[in-house]
Amino acid sequence: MENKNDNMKKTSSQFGERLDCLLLKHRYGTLSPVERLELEALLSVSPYHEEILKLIDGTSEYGPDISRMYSYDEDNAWEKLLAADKNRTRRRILSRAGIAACFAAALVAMAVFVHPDTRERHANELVSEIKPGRKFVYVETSVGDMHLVRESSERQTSLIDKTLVDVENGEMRISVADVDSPMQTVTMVSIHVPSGCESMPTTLPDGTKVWLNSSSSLRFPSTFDPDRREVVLMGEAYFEVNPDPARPFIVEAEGERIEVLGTSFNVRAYRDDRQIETTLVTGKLKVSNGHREVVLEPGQQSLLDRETGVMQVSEVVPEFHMLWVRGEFCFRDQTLESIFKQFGRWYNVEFRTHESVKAILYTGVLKRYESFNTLADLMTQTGDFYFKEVNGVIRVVPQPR
Amino acid sequence: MISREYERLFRSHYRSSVFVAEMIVNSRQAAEDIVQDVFVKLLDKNIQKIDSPANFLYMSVRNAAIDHCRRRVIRAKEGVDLSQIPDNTDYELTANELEYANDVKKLFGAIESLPLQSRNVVKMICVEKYSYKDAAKKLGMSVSTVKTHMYRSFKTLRNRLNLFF
Repeated sequence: MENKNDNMKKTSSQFGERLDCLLLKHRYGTLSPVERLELEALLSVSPYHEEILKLIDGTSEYGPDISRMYSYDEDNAWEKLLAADKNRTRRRILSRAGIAACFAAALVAMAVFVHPDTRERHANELVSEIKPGRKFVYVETSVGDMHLVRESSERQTSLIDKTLVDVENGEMRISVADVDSPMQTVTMVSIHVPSGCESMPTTLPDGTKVWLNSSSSLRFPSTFDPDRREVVLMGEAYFEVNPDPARPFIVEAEGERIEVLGTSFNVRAYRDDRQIETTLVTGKLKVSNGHREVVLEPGQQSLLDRETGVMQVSEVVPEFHMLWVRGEFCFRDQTLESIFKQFGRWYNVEFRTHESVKAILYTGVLKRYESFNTLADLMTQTGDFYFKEVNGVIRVVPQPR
Repeated sequence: MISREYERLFRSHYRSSVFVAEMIVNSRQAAEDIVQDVFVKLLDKNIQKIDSPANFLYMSVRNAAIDHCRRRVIRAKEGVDLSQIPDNTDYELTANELEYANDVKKLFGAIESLPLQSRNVVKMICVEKYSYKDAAKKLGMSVSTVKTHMYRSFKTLRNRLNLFF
């Protein structure tokens, strides 16, 4: 077969020009009897030559079907596709709002990136695919050893300086090896979640469950004190505290002190955020900053301004503030600037937001586990801005008016 | 937002897809609808992640067309015994039909790949069977220009088809 092809190629290069010339003469009807014989000889070399001749003569059996294909209305089909594409994007936005509404009934009125703008807009210029965060953390002990722990469906146990780290079914459990040893020494354990990552749901030695967001750390002793459980948080975490009336659970977060008995709550205390946000989902919670102290009821949120020391309490939909645990990004009247700060931690990229759009308020729920490129396309729908990647930094540029 | 890859796929395979679908369902309207549906579904896919988008497209069109035929049977006979419904294979194109469809696709593709002016000339002369004179008149060019286009096109077609057949 290959040989045949080779021969065919050789033949056609040799006789090709001549064949074309004869075919043309044939079409004009100026073929001499000798040339006719020559043409027939050349045509017999390969079946497609004959097909071309037939096509020229209009006797090709393919002719009618080819002209049929030309009669299909391609442009009309394309127009319909463009329309379908527009509706599709709009529907997706609405369906996301739907999911959020089901999840927390109080959010029914919430619209996601209201009024998709239909004007011509500048497309995003993103060079690379920006993938969402992955589940891996570093576990550090007071000895100074750092261990990388990844998500795994199979059980994996590692012993890190007398601390057992168990990973199974996508969860992590930290416990002390050899509890009964008389020579027990308490070591400090830290879980570091780098930017662009998140922790697996993690169970602490006392049974408390914690979810750490990207760019966050939690430090705690491998064995808690007999009268209290103290942890130090940097960044954002959602806690489900194992009730133990004899040992209050205390979170130290950038100067804020949160004291609980048994409860679930979310703390957002990033060093580069001005406010510390503490949201109570269930139970009871005492928040203080050394000067002031407030007691939160379920559904309440405290905002501590770290610069002025002012603490405000407001009523919120608490589920809204822990949707990140369930894989969603949630904003409610949040400025673009702070939204992109949040994105920066999760996608591990730097955003630079143009002054003129920084203060625009947004409300919405977006999927956390999608690549940023998908989110970017969705957000550009608002018509306020577009994204432009320059040397690895994502610029948020206002749409030209 | 429609990607460039998507538009390219559409532009180069839309007509061939409808043709293949029409061979299976024997209805131009149904064929056009089927292909439209397939392309709408493709909007949700990342074409760059598909190994061979054209193959994927033709497989989807073929499956959708066969599906259409089966549903037509179900609609036609109410209360039909499900086991009586013809198997997929009954609607498959035969080897000969498939070969024919491929040849038409190739020939069409070869003509489509010609430069615009030449393509128009070839379409008129070879497919729509205009005379040289009428074609020249309609395209607003001299007969000798038409001839030049034809000559060049033969050469290109010959080379293209040489690779295909």
